[in-house]
Amino acid sequence: MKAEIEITVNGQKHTVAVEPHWSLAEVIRHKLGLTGTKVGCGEGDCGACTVIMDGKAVHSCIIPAFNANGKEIKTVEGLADNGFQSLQTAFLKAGAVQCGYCTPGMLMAVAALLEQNSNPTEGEIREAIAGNLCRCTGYTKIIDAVKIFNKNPNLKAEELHQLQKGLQGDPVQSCLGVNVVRKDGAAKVTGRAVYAPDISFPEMLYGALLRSPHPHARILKIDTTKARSLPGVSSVVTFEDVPPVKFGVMLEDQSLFAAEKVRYIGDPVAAVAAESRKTAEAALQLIEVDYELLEPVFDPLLAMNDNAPIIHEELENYQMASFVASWEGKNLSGNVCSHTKVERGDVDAALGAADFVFTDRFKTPAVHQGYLEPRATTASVDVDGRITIWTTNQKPFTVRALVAETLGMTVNKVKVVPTSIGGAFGGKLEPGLEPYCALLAFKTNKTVNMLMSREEEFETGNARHASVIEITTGVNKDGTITARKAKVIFDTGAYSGNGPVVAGLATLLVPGPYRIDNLKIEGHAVYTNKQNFGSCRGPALPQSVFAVESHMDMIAAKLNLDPLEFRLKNIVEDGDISASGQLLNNVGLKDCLLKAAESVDWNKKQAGVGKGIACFWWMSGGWPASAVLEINSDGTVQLITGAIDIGTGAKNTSVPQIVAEVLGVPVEHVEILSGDTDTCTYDHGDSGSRMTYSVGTVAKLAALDAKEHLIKQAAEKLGIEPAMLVLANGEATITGDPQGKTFSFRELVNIARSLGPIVGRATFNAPHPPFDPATVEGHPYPSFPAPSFGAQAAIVEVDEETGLVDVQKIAAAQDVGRAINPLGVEGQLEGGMVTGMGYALVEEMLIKDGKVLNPSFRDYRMPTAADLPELKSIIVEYPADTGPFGAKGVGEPPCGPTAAAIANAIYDSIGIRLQELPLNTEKILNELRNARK
Amino acid sequence: MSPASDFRNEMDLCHFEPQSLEETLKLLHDMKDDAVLVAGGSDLMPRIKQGHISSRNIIFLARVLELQQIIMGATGEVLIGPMVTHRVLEGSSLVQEKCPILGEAASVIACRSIRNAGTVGGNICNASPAADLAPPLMVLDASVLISNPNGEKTVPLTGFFKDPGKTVLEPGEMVTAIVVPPVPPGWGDCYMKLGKRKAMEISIVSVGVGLVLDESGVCSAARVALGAVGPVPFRAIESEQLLAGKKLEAEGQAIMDAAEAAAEAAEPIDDIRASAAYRRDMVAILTRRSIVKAIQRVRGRS
Repeated sequence: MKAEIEITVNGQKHTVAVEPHWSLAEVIRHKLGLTGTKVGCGEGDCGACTVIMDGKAVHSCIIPAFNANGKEIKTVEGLADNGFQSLQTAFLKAGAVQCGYCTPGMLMAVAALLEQNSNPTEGEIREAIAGNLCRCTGYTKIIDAVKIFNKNPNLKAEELHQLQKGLQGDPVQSCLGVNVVRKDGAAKVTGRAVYAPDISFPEMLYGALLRSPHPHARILKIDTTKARSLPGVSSVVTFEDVPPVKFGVMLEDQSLFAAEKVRYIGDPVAAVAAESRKTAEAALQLIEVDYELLEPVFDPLLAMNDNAPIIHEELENYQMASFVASWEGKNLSGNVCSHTKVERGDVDAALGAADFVFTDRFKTPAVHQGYLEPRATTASVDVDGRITIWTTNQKPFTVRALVAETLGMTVNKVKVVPTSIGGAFGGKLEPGLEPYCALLAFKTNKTVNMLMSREEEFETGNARHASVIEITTGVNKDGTITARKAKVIFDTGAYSGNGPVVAGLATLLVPGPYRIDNLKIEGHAVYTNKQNFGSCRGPALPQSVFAVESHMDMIAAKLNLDPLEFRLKNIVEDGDISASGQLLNNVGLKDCLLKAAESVDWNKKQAGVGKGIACFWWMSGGWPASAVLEINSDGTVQLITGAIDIGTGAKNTSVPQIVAEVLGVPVEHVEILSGDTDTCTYDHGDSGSRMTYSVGTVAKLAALDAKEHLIKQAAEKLGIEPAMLVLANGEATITGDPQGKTFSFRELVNIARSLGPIVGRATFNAPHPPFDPATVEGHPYPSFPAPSFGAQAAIVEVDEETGLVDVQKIAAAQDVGRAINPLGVEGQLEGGMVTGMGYALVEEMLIKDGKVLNPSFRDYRMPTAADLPELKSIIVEYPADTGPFGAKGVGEPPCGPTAAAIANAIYDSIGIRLQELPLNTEKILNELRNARK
Repeated sequence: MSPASDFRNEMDLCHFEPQSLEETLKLLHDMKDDAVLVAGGSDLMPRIKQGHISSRNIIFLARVLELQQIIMGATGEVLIGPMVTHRVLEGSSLVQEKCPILGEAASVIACRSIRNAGTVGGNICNASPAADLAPPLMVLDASVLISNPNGEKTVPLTGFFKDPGKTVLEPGEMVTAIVVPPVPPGWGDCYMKLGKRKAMEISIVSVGVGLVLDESGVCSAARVALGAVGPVPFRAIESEQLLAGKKLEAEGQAIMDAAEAAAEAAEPIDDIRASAAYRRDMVAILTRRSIVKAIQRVRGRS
């Protein structure tokens, strides 16, 4: 029963009729339309919804609306009016904003602190934001922002404009290597950035999915009669309403709705559109499904047994996804949906000849990407039968293709509008709600909205693969590695998804960044009756690095070698080859190892603490990119590309910087369009550390193309040879002109434009570097474009009575080729280290009998600001031949080596070696006890 | 354009916003067992949304100002209103002076923003085995003032909890104050919780210790209370008895024995947060550390 409350929000009084179970967040967002306040969990566990109520920060999603009656509320929209515009500016200046979904809540938590305490200590800042989770930044830059604000509380918004030119403030000769404020920053700190859960239209319907309650069952009958007759229900759909299309990243083993079988708890069986979420969910309860329960299998090792229940009987007949022509997904049978092998030399002979042979086995759990913005999609059909989809997805063009394919439409009838993305980390790489929402919009001819709960996110997302990795290494007395054999098994869940790629990547990562002549590495993705696991920041990297780098330290300990020296003896250098025969150059690994070690005083033994180090190599992501670039009459530039930004900022900082550098214009003169799949040209999506590398390259090529047109047209108009016109530092000069005539960039543009518009275009698909085909079998990704390298070192202290590990410091040194926007690079390193620390110590999706036991941010513990160790970011630059201005991919690997570095530091501290993540308190205590026996 | 509704369960609930304790008690009397009291809402709100509350009548206590006070009673006791938030408890100078262990416990609950909403009454009446305020209140020998339309009664906190989520409150009854008696001279106390993170944690184990030392370091009385290791928070009497009458030294046998006895008294379960065995072991560790800290505090004060 509704009743009225009166609240003052940002100085304005509102009278709102509310229900007893409504939260303050719902009132602010849905009744007042102030969507700057975000909801990430709805249970008070993440803090994205933080507002100030009567001067105090509160999590508005758990404040009953009635408890706000008569109160004064401040939200992010009112922050600038409350004198905190400079705090918002400080957030941008410090690089404290990435995906931006935590930002409004974070700002309000900080503002509440500053209202009471104008000069807080770092400890007080951490305490004030400890309830505000952030997965992107690693909190460090947020704390920096408060410090910047404290030093200069009068930062004016006008300075923002200045900041966009480069944070140093001095005139710069180059746009590269300069800290630039992200172009979407102002929208994110004011609450104006629109995320998928913020999208709404009048009279829209609400969609919901009926998901399987069983891990493995045959569907005997689906009866939707009762659901259809429920008042308020507009549509109920099942497999019978869609073409029998199978799809998948590599292997086409998935369909929109289960037809014959369900394969995990959460497998979609039917969808409903209704006038309210309540009605939609009530209708789901009325759909009657008769299941015949089948024996499930949850352990990938058991699933590989001959007598295991078969999850996909049709496996051998599945098609390869159309674009992966290079992958031979052959010899697939049972529950094994990928075989990848890398083999060189004679591994058995070399192991036989080695002075020592060590075999170790490692296990890692499934972990969630932990983005704060839940998936949400809205779809609307127009009179021409075209559909528009607003969604939060890393690959809008893949969504477009999949919706077209599964609904039997042509691609150009589907328009996907990417919203701001509140974090993704690979979790929003595969299409999620979009085809269902589109289908319901078609069936009802109305706008349909769907939203996932946090619980659904944990239960049916596509979390990081659990793995079992067994490694055997042959070493000579002097510490030279001579051979390595390994078997890598990834639990890919009910569908293959990205599993074959991930297992394939592992076969190049398990050799490590080491020079090993004799190798045999096999990788498998294996079906189990669990959610479809998928990509997560550096898919296969943290799993592989934990195994390899723990193994390396175990060998070093047995041979009594210093772990750093042992690595330095074996690491790849310029001129070495990778496992698959790729020639490596511009290898900054040695530098990374030395610098990471130096920053933890590697050679200095300190009582009570342990130090550990780990290193890795990774790719700069390729895949197709395209861009169109126009130079306007006033000399400003528009870049049009379908690339999006999941939060790293690469598209909003580095890419415009690259364009500005090519054309010699200030970076604030470059605008980058945030459009949709109708207005922008194709891009693969924001994944695989490819934004600066691939999108940066295509932007550079488009800028060069435009520049060529500019010079050609201007020269023609001036009646000179194009070669005589030299464009540098924003000025054009005619060489050989006795008067030394010069034009400003703008003048040159106007001369050229008198002959027609100046438009550049480019496409780019980073080639795979050459490799030795004889060494690989069934490999979906046999070589790494512009490989990146890095190392991390950690200092820990272990409480031997409780098993609690106190991480005191993590240092990350990463070879990024060329840091286009150093502040952004640091943000990636810091966020990665904290994510890696969570992976090391506490994060784990507990899955029993196919059911996720901890589907909330309360029980799935991501590190908070209170858990933050000292972080040190070290940028190492060994420019790549192929990257734009030498840049390599940055974003994924910073979370890769952290767990291994921490595991090695724990060993150094207390002599306990754990071979299974997470390195939790109970495992540590058990091992300590075993050691004392 | 207004944003998408997140309302998943639109339910038929009635709300009440009483302005006084008297009005609240009358409402409770009229509704008998079909009413739920909402204090800060931080714990109840998600449960109401998920439909885990059977009652249709929701009484919001936010406007009952008389429940929001911390005052000194006639005989030196501290009376804490159930609507006092954790954050207010933390910052109260009266609490700092008379029973700082409560501030210590309040300061480690969830995070600051949740402590701005969550209340003492909510923490106690939800009867979570892991309620952070329960062990320190038991250590202080606190009791609960319960009112019903016919009068009031006092129940010691040790007798207040029945089961997870259940208290001795009868339909029509509510907690109107938490009564904390003054501590004797020579008193020292300590609260410790164990979680896997440094914030936003529900205790895996929590221990409160309070003791009285005479000038020679002999313990004349002790209280040890445990949380998250049984269906309800409780006092570990045997542990207390092993401390009383002993001269306590940091590595001494008496403290070790008391810690072991506390672990013996625990009845932990295996759940997703920790195993029973780990919890039991941690009771001993935290008890020992809390005793040592409490001794230091006695000495620090004297």
